[in-house]
Amino acid sequence: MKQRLFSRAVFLLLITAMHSLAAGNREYPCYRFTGAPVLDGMLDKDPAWKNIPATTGFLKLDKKLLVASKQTSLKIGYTDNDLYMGIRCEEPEIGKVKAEAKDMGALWTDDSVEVFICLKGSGDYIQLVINSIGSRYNRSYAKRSISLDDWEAAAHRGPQHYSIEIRLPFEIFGGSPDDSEIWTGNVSRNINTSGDQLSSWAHLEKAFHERANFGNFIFKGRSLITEQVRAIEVTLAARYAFKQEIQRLLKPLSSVQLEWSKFPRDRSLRKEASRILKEFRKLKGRLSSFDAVRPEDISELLERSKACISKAYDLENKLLLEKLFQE
Amino acid sequence: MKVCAFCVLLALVICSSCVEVPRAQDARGEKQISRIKDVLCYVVKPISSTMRLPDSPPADGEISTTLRILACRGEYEPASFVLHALEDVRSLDLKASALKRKGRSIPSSAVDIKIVKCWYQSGNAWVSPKQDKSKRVLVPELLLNDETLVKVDHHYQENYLKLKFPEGDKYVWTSNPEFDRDWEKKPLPIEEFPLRDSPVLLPVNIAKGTYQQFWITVKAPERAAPGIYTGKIDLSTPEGYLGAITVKLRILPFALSRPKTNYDISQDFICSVYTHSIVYPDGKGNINNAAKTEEQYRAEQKNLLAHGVTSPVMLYPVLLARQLEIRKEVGLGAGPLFIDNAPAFRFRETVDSFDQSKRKRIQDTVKGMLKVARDFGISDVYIYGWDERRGAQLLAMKSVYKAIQEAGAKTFVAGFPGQFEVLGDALDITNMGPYLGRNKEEAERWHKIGSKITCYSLPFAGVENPEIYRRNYGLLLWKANYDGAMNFSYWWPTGYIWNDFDYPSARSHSFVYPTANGVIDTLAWEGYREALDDVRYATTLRLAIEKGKKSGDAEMRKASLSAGEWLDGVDIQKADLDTVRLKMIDHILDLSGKRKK
Repeated sequence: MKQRLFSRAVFLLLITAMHSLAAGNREYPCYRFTGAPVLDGMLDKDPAWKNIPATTGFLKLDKKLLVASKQTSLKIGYTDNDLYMGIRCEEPEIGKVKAEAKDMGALWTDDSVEVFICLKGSGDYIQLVINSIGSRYNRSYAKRSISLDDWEAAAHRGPQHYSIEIRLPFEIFGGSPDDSEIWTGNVSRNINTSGDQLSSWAHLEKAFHERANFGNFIFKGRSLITEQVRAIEVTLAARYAFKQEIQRLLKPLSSVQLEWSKFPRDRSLRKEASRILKEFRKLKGRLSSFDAVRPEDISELLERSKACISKAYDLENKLLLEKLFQE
Repeated sequence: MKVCAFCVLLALVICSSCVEVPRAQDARGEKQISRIKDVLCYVVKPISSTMRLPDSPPADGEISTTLRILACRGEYEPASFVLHALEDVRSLDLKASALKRKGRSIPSSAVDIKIVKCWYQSGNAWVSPKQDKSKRVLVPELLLNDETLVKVDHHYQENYLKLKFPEGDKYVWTSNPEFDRDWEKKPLPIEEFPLRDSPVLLPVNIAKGTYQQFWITVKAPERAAPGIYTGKIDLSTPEGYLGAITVKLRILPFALSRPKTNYDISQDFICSVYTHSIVYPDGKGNINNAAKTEEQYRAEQKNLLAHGVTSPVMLYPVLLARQLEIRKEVGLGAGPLFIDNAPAFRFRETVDSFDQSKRKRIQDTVKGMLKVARDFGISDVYIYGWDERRGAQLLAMKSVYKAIQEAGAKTFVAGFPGQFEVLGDALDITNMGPYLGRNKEEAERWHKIGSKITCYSLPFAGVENPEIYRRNYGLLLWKANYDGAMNFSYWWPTGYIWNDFDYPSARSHSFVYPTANGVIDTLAWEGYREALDDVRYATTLRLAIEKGKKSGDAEMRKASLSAGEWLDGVDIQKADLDTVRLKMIDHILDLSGKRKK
């Protein structure tokens, strides 16, 4: 019973969050720290980060909102004087990560993260780049200049990820945020190992510098207790997690279409294949305009995808058996 | 005109003799259904996450009376069907015929039929090996010849076992939820606990409206000619013949390779499991502890080999030579020998100021075991270390492992993350639990120092769902470049092994259940076999791909690349493993040039 109530609560939160996501730019609620984190690049064991929710679902750079193959998660918290960002980059090929550039070098050619934050009350922004060994680069796209002495960052490598911690004094941005104030910004990632090379938290179309597509950081003016963090993370991640799951489920179907057309001589099997492919095309259509899918329809879409792939496997089994017993 | 009509007639005769049964009817089994009286037959996937229970129709089953099985020579392959009783069926007898093809025959003894017995297990049944005493769950698990060996009381959700005493059969209660702290002092000697399944399948009752699953294991003979063999399973009761289920077995035209690793096709994929049976000089055997008679021990070794386990871990051997002799008799002699002999090494006291005299004792013990092993032609001997250590104890073991290696043996042990940093190449095989995931990087760093990595606890044995073991211990490990599967365990009692409800924290970590003369197989154990067989098919395909890439035929090279891309890309976490198997067979046939045009 408790579990059902929890599921309903999460579902309601999810619907609320998804409506806002579908409506415009991506949003992230920034909460105050109860104690500042230790700047060592390690996020997992630092108690300060436990009360800050993570957002994930980094996207490929295109209009289709496709989830990137290697995921990144982002946490932003703040104190009276400083803004902190914690970025965790999943990287199963950690041994192959490129980390060659020195401070102020071409860090975007390494495996690295790029942070963009607009200045307070302005459309101008700064760009920070940090690689997996903590080398830094910054550039200001505003009248106000920025140097490496103005901010700090540290990096850490785990067995299957690297993580970066950044401290940015609010004076860089021209002052600290008021409660409920919204800043715009984004975090992007460069990957040199396998998979998608560029990914972004905000919905970008072609390049990292699309200021109009940056997401919103909403300063909440309060702290969270650990128990509240999970529910917020669910709302932040759910839509993208669902999409990723559906994409993964449907992936094998893309490759079987041609094969099916080759050998189902049996009319009933051919009909079955046609039904499944029709459903597959419908699901793919819904996926390509995923932002327009109503939140309350997402679960149904997932279930339909599961049913579709299950039927596809059954059919493929039948077809293969037919083929292997005809010889 | 007459000649023309004769030709048409001749063509019709030839065509009709080629077609055994109209395909549409065969695929759906419509023709055969009408021949079975009082029951409806569903063909179901044998290794499945779907429970086949008495009160529910198999939603994923196909109403059919034709079982189609593909196997290579020497392979064991499962199939399954569920009978739904339309009327009360009393004393249903199932008899397999020989399988025939063009004058060739595979004997009926190659088709083993078992009843899948549902019984009550504790709350985490089908899901986890952890204990949950809050509820009891009816779950299919045991593969029996005598369905009445286990009696189930559905009202009280309890199980009883039939013991066969000279004076007659007697049922004993095996569902006591109270934990007996003295259970280890009560090993259940076979004289007191004569639990034996029937050597042959006995007739079964199926109540009207209920469903009963049956399990078929076909052993494809080593010398059978490739092709499709057809036979049947006759169903009858004392009242008369009900009908038959057709069995079509295709013996595939290629040899199934021994399992090799994905990262290096020349390295053996280790097919192992922890076993605990010991033959003692007094020759006595029990049900609930390690002491086994030679009959029990021999039956276990045969069963392990039949399930693809070629290098089981041997526990605390007292009569090492005798146990090796029995293993050799049943065909288990060739692979590396894995020995866990903690009592002989006494690691806890050994690591406390590990001096020269302790080093000598350890090395003498190792050399003694090596000598016995070499008498049986085994040169590759692995000695198990101190199980699942961390911190100072793990570090202290490094010198001991080095001493074992210097004495000529190799080392292996189960452990946690951090082992690599502490032990490095002092460990020849790390048996890693699920803690680090199954990623290629973890495997790669062990390989770089010349060591290997296997896997256990993903999960421990004891979960009834066979699909979990097929997925997690086969292609998933293989594709993560692991060197093998070494789960815990073949059987391991927590409390009384036949009682799932007594031990406070865990259920028995057992793939099989011991009896007075062997073991009872389970669905999960069959899943483990299919996991290892999947690796053999993947190896066969990998070898065919490598050969095809070097072919002078451009089409063959193209087909090899395509097969390689598919094999590298298939998502084992989510894929339907039956489909993956069929695809592997399909690709192998394409690449082997043995496909009929």
